[in-house]
Amino acid sequence: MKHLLKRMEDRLFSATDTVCLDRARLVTEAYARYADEPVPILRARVFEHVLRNMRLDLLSNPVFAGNTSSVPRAWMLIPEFGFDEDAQVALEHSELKGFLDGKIPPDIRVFWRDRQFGGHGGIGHMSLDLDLVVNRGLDSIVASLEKRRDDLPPENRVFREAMAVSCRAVIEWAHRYAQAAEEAASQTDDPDVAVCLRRMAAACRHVPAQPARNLFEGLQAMALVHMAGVIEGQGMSMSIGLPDRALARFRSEVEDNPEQSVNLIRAFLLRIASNSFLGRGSKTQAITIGGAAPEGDACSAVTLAFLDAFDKTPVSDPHLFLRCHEGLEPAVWERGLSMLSAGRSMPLLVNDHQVVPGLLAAGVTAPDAWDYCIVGCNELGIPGRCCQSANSIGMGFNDLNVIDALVRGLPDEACNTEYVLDAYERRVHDLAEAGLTARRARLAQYAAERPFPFCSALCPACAESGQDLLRGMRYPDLYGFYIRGTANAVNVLVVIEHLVTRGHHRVGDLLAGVQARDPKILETIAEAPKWGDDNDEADRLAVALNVCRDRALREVAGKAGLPPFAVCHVVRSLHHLDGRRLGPTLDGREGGAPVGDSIGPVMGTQSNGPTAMLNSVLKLDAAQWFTGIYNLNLTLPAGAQAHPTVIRGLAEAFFHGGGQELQVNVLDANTLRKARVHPERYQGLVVRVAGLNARFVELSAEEQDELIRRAEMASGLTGRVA
Amino acid sequence: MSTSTTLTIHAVQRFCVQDGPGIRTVVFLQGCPLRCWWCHNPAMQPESPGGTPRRVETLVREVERDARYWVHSGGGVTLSGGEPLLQADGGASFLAALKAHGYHCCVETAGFGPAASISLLDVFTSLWLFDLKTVNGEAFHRACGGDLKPVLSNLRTLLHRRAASVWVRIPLIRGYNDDSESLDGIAGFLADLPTPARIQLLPGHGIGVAGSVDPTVEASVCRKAETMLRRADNPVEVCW
Repeated sequence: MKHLLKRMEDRLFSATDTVCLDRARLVTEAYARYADEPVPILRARVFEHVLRNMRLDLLSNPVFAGNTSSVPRAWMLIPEFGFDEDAQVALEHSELKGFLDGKIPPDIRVFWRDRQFGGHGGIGHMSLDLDLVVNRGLDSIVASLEKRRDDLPPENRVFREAMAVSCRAVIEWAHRYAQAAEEAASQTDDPDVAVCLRRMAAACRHVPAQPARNLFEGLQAMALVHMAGVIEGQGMSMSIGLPDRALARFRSEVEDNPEQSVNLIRAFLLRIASNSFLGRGSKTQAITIGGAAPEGDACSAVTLAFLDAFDKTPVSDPHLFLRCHEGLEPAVWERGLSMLSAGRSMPLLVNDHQVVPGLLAAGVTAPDAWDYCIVGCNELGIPGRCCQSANSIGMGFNDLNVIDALVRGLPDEACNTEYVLDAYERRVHDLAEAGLTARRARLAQYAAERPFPFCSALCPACAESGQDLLRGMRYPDLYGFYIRGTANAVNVLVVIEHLVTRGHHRVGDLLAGVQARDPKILETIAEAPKWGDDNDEADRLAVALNVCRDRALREVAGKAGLPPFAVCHVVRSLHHLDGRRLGPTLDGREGGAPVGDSIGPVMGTQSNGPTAMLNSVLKLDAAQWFTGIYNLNLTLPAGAQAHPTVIRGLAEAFFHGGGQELQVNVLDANTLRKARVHPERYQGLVVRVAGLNARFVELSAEEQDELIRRAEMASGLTGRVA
Repeated sequence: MSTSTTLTIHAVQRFCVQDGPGIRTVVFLQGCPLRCWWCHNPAMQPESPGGTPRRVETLVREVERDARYWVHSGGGVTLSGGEPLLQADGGASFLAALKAHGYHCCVETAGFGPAASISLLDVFTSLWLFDLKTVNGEAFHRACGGDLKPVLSNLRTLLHRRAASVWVRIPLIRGYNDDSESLDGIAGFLADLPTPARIQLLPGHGIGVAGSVDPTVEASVCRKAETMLRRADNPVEVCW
């Protein structure tokens, strides 16, 4: 199995980006063929047509079925959402900029020109109820969908019919794999591959239709259904939910065969990593393990096996989150710490004791709140029960953008923090109202024109009521609100207080100095306190900013009869894109330079070390102000400062004190520099960038530079305060 | 109980991981009576200038900001320098306040000071990090400018009193104590005393050193030193 895993890994990571037109062609054909059907049936028939006719790829991963394109990294296209470039992928992998130019055949382009919908990757940011798939199977869902429901309005009955068509299509797709795997097994010269293919064939005859009978079948069912969701059109940030819970029934099998189980999970991770939407570009398919359930710690041997599998497989997407809580199984915690200490950049850590209260306050029931998972970069979701809190139709804004525009519009005599914060609150209010109106219109458009019958069938409340996931999920009103640039915005407020109000500098002079990179002005600004350094003055302004935003957003949500918005500070690589659109700012930031990469300090502005950074962030009430989560990067230098006991101390103290999320990156600048020169020697080096994990050697020079700088700064991390 | 309520400090460093167990906050005091040529912190040697007098209560409040990390990592506060024995009164007040809250307190010393200072600080000290450079009085005087007798006497006292709360730290300096004779001397001295909790070899390096001579030792020398000291049946670790 090991040599097979290595071969699969090499095949996946050495593949170059190409385009696979299977899905695009089949969708285009089917849209024409079923044009007269009601939209949900049309969508289901299109999905069915794709699954019946797309090419199956058994070569690149003979262990698990479930490919999205014919060869690894051949882009699967979703023309019904468009061919727009993903700006973040283009930034993270500069060679993919303009990748699709000239690669879309004219007939396909022409067909979709009049059917413009916008976007390129569906709604995403959700996890289907894979527990249901593994433990009950799709047949049971189809059976309940086929029951007569005369109590429902006709359009909902139609939607249920579309769901049943979609589920049957996935079962049939599995049978196609079974057939193909049997044929391939009889033709291969490699006895190991033949064994794998026969096992795949047997499993695909059984799952995902029926409940899984063992770990392998459970993983196979999850892989098929997850990939089917992607193929249906949820390109971005489809996540796996809580696989260790869904597979907990097989814990004794894992205990009895730990090595074999880990190898199966490794092959499963490689299968998920082969999702070819956007080729090598990140899809941020999060996997969440660990955490507490109402009855106690939810870890099992399956949890540990997932950690081991991630440790041994250099995948960056899927990325792994470990839910932490005070009763977390010590063996799981220790394994996670040793992985972080060794520089694996996973698991990413999230604190149940901050996330769950936030969800409860937003009206989520306790059993559901304890069942949360990460979706996408690091947003929150609940498998099959909510996708509103984080999805591609996000509302939100960049704090720095808002504050900068306000400050530039003010006369100097009015430029004080009290006035700016007051204006900020009013502006947030207006932006949120406008955002909400736009979002609701877009949601309605999605549900009417681009419903997802298959994914909806895997959301029990939707299946029950015959509604699309955007309308019928158990928590349809948890609206996410995306925030970025907060750290820079706070630093602007500090400059106003220190240099404008007290120091009698003029805003215009300071901004002109920043623009001209005047060393004297930059030094004056640099000397002002900074957010994220445990400075009470700066941190007080951070708290004030968050209070203002929270008040404004609660008012808007309340007026609309909604629960509080799920505010999240999530970055991925948007800090670069935000920065490019912004001129020089009062915090000393050069025009075009990135904004802060997490809720923590702006890179290069911190002098008191990681404990000071964590202390600052602990002054933010995460459960109140970030019910949708924040991301926090902590980079440590390899060596004594990244010893497992040190990481344990930092993480436990932070979480115990009210911290919510922590992304620990252990980096060594020299290693990163070497990796740049000899990428072939560092194929396994996976790093956490801002909101995504990536294989370092595949990142753009811009992102590599950022990580090298971060590593260099981390090597002088000990904080001096007096 | 001491009455001094101030300490003259050079700096406070947070998130230190090599000055005792766990995550620690290190208070570097200003002033040291020795002048070791390999000193990494020569700016802390003079008693003035360079120091800032700080009230003990203020300093306690300041360092306590990181108390949560001490608690969760098995760390605490380390009083270093400079030489803590020079400010034993203020140091004792400071450590007493921290000890009262249950925090782990280390004192990092070169041991050159009155026995009374050791006793005063010892009441509030959870762990001593005791620097032993040589057991040759003449060599000590030549390199550091002090008398070795009180150093050895203080170390003997502490090891007899509570060896389990002492880490002996040996800076390994090229051309000074990295020869067999020097290391044999140290091993012999320790062999006659209760075994300390830990013996740490600190290979010299050039960072921060004011003089032109590089104290950096080769890895092979460290391994030899480690073997020689281990022969005396002591728990030895090399802190790179």
